[in-house]
Amino acid sequence: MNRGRHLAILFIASAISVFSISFSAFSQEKTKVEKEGYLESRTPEACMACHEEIFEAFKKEDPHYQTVLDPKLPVEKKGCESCHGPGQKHLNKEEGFISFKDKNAKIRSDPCLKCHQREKTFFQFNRGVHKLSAVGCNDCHQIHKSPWTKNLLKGKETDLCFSCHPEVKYKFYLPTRHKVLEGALTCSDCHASHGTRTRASLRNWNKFDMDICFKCHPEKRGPWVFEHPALKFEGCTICHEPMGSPNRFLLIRRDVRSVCIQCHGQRHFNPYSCVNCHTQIHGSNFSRYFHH
Amino acid sequence: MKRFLLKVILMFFCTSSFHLLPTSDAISENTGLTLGGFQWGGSIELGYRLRHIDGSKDRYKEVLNLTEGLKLLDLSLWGKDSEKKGLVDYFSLNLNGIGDPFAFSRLEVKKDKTYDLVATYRESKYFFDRGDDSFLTDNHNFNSKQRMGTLNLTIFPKDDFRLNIGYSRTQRDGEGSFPRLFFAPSVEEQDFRERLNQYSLSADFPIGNWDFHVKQSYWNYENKDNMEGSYQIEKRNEKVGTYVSTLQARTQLGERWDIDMGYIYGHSDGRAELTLNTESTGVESVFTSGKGKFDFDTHILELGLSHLLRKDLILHLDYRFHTFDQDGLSYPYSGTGVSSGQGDTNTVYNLLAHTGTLQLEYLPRENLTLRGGYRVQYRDIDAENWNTNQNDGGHNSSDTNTLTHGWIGSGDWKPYKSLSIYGEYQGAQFDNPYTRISPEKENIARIKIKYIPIKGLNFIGNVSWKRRTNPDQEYRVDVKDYVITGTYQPSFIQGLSLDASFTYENIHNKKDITNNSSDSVSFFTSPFTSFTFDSDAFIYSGGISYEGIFKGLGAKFYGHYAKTLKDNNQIYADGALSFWYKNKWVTPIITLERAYLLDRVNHHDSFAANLVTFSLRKEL
Repeated sequence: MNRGRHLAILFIASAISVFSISFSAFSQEKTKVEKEGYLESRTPEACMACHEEIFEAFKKEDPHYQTVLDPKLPVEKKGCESCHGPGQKHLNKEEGFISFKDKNAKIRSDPCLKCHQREKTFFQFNRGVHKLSAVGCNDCHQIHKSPWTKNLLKGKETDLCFSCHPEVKYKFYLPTRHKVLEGALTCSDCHASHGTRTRASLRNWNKFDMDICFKCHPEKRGPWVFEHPALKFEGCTICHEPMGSPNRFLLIRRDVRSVCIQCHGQRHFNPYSCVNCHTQIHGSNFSRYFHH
Repeated sequence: MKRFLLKVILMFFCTSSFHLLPTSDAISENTGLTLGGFQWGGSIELGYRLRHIDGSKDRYKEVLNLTEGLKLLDLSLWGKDSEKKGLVDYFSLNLNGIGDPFAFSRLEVKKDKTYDLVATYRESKYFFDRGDDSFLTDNHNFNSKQRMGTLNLTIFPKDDFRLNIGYSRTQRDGEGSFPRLFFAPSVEEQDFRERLNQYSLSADFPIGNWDFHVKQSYWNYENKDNMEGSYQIEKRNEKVGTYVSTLQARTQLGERWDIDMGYIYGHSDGRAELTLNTESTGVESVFTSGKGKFDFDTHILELGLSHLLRKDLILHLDYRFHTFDQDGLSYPYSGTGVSSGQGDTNTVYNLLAHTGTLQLEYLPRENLTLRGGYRVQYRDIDAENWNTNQNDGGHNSSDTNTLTHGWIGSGDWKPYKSLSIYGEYQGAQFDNPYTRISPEKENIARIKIKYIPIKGLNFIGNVSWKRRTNPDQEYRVDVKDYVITGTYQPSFIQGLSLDASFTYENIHNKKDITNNSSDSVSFFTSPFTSFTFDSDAFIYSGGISYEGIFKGLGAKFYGHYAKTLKDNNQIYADGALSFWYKNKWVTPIITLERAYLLDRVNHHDSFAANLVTFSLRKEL
């Protein structure tokens, strides 16, 4: 297997693909930026006339209100019309004005992405599992409601996640658990909500999908001269249940021995716990059998 | 218990007069306090907790570990310069749980479009000692504290250019006890001294229609865990340095294409030394001192494409190429530090992987989202001096090609404003599973229904199933989860909210053991031929909060009850009742909490704890 050759071929293939797409895209009609129908200088006061309650909260604390005050921004990126589109069309009841109520995730997210997708965190948002599962920006973020919260979240981060993932929340009520409900860590410490290519949307850079565990447990990361192959290939979840479990050390079975024997069979000393001798079970630099 | 009650009563009388102490008039929430050109706001809550534990104090420390004494439960302070003429526009300071096992603090200072400085500090105490050290148990005990600190400075030289300098440190201190010697029924004490420092420099900037993210990181990990036990003295010195270079880019081409690309290169190398000494203890060790060195390189190439085929149809493609090459050398040494060449072990591990997902997103109506696609992953491992015998846990961990592929899909439908239905499915087939509990087939399905019959009343029902099977290995796992939750905030009673949920989970995990070694027969009992892990979990949780009992008097109750049956039969329940009296000076709060754990397998591991916390909260 010539890895350098694989890599070089992939680089070249990717570059060719992107350039060919670029050329085909440039031959298309350029992105239309609708310039007509904006009230511009008359907003946001014009909007306030009918939506006073929303506007007062928006003006009071929302960082998006800064766009109204920024003279350098183009009309389609300012104030209410930045997200909702041309106000005149709304007044005339024409198509082109965006209402977010009861719309799919694409319609509810595209106006936000217009500015935010330039940030690295959102590079993969369009292909992220949240957006593809109909979760849009305003499912978690409130854009113009008081009080102002960090990242404009609608509530406490964990509560927001559990509102769609109730099957995860109860695991944190089990005796052995990561202390999420106690505030020791939050969902976003391990998961990236705005899109990744990793399984379970884990954050990483990556060894093989499980790097995020090593952020808090660097002593388990290695690399070591002798590594536990299962950990290397399958990741931590081959032996551990990451959220919560009735079993000690968040194991997938009631004790260490029954986890090990599943793969390795009963080798010797059958009533004993394997880690009494194989004490460095995640990896060792000195013992092939993880003794020390 | 009597002493505990006496303490509670005494503490209540002491703190009940706190609100009579002179305090400045509360500042209106709308305006805050204006001082030095800044508008200030925030809150502080200071408390004292009393605690009484019956049963296993060690298990209490493992599960809950809320401590007795003075606590800074919450401090939030912010300042805002609305004129934005100084060096600082905004700053905030948050402290939570100071004095408890999971303390957290965050400081942010920023000036719009100039800089943003964020520092965080987090502490986490971990205790584990079931007091059951014997050959039959794991004998790994911990009493450690982990501290994590981060410092991030982001500078904005231009509107569309940002520079970030980051530093973070994670360290673990404390002690543990671990087994070391064959056949010796002892655990040896070990001191933890582990440090991870991470430094990073990154830039985000556009070039033409592309947005770029470039980052260079360096991590330095050091492990100097020492053991000075009664049988063995062990000195460990392990150092790993890791460089990670990242380049990511994204663009939108025309109206139809959204592309992102990334390349990541990581390199780690390290040296390790273990010095064993049993001379002072007079016990002959079966192990020798040793040295090890290793290095690895990883390359990751990523590509993501979204193509708008029609207004209601989008094609998504994700691809990832990944290589991982690792070399290691381990050798015993007797003090000279030089390898004699005898007993050297070289290990090599090479992995190459291609991962791709092709999906179609279909939006036929504004209230309907459908997606479907196919995922493929190919992984090829070549290793040398890796364990290769049949009991190494898999078919052949040194030379394996694994192909994983399967359909994925989901649908979200909101037929009415009050009702939404979501379903998803993930399937996978694994050719040549790696371990004996890696599946040949995996099926995951989930259905979630949200129903809002009237304003303020919400119901969510969630059903999920997961099945992993490997018929060759007689391995099968079935997990079923059923959850129903309801929340109610009646509009006709301000300040009242109720919520309740019920969860049932069933896990059935069965594996026939077919690869027992012949020498396992000769000891005491026959070897295991099958393992089954069966668990039923019934979890009830609920709460009620009401602000307007009488004038400023409010109360809140929240609790949960989790019962696991069959294997590891346990009940764990925790409930807290709080009362507060809001007034214009300072809000006194009393919280009564009871937690208990009933371990029906190891009865001595059960506990019941009563906690009372008195606190005073002041909004600034």
